[in-house]
Amino acid sequence: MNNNVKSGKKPALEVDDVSLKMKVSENEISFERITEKERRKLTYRPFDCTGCGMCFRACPVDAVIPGPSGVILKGLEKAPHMVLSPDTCTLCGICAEVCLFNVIDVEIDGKNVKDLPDYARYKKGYKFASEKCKPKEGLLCKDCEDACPRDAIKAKLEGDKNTIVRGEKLCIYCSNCEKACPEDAIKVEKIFDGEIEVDLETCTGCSLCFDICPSGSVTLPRPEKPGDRPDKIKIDTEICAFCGACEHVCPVDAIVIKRKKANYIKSEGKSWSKAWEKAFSDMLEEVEE
Amino acid sequence: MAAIKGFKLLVDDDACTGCGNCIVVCPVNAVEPEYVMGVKKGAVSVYDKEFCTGCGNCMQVCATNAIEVQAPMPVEIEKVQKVKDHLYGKNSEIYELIKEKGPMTITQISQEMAISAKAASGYVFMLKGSGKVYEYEKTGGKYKYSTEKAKKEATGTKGEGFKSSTPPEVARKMKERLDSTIESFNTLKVRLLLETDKLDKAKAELLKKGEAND
Repeated sequence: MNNNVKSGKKPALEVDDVSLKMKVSENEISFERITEKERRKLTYRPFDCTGCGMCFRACPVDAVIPGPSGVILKGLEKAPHMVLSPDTCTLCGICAEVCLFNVIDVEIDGKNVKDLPDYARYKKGYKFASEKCKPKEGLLCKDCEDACPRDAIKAKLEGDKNTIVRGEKLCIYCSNCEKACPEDAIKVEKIFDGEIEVDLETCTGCSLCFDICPSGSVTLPRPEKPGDRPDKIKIDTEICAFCGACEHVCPVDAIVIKRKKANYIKSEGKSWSKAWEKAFSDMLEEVEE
Repeated sequence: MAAIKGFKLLVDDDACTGCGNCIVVCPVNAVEPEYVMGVKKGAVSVYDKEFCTGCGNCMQVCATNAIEVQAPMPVEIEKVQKVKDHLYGKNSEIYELIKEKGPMTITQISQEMAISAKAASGYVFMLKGSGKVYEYEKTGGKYKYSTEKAKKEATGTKGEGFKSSTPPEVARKMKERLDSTIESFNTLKVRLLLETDKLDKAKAELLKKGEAND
């Protein structure tokens, strides 16, 4: 560099100008903070992201910037649903715990926050009674596999026994499989419970909520008889995961989600437990509004 | 609802025909008193960007592709821009230089810009190809380049003129490759973030140069 200055040339680009805080690979965006005591790393997988906006609502420092979800859903522009800005992010890990779809991971010294007992997390209950699961008329029964909107379940027939394998990271505990099972072998403890209000007068019927819904609970009813005028959209709360994607994507705010219950394990006795309690209970506060 | 918004609603006034399709289709416009866009003097003008929810209806319906909803980019854009300028931005600088100082030869350009004559001739070749710069006059076997067309037609037969040392096919391929890289920088918004390996290469080159200088 000094040689350039001596010869009167224009100062060239320096290495600091090029080095980015973010690392981007094919399917992941990540950034880290390295101090003497610890090393924190956040990874985000934009192509697995549904765009529900849960992280955006939970982030305590507004480091999550939502993109134009409608434009992305329609494929008009290829962009990630959320942009996590490395300048404002404190790498606390709340977004990683709050995300229903496991697309964000925060690691502290190489250990995932989800595995550490000091942090609050969703209580995930999934019971599968293997003795109840039976083949259908001697053939493989895969009703749950067909019903799963996330392709998290795979049914197998081993000899006379019917079993299922479930991908825990893909599962969003929507209880579609529980409904589909003819033998009642599956019991799902849902993470959220509550009500959904749809203002059918302001609803324009744009069907963005139908496109984004990860659990297939939003349907667009068709008229059965001539002269029938069914509702523009219908949301089945029994198989809803209450992720809030439809509420986030609705351009006219016609959908309001009221979560009444949340299944989560609190972190107690730690200095950060209050902030985490707030992040989780904020999702429920919407009831009172 | 959202207070922070990463995306922008952009309207190209030159391409807009003022048909009003976007205004009819905008779901927010239907809800009073919120109002995103309307037609004013034959072109769409954006009134309240804050109400835009990024649904993309207007973008989908526009007949002339005048509307764009720009998604936020996860890479620090300024830095990418800087590298882009460094790698590909020289020819715009050269264009401005020629515009300012009148007809210049390649050696003059290379001296002004502090780059090698070979690089300068490459940039000028690209500018010439895109029709921004013309051969002005020939003095002492060397061409002078200008942003204006020469008043007299170049003397000599058809075959004479600008001769590149590289064969025309190779030159064309080189130009195509360069153009495609520039285009990828300009248009592929998100894939831009996947182009960080290019940045890494630039960084490695810089490090190498630094070592050589030391």
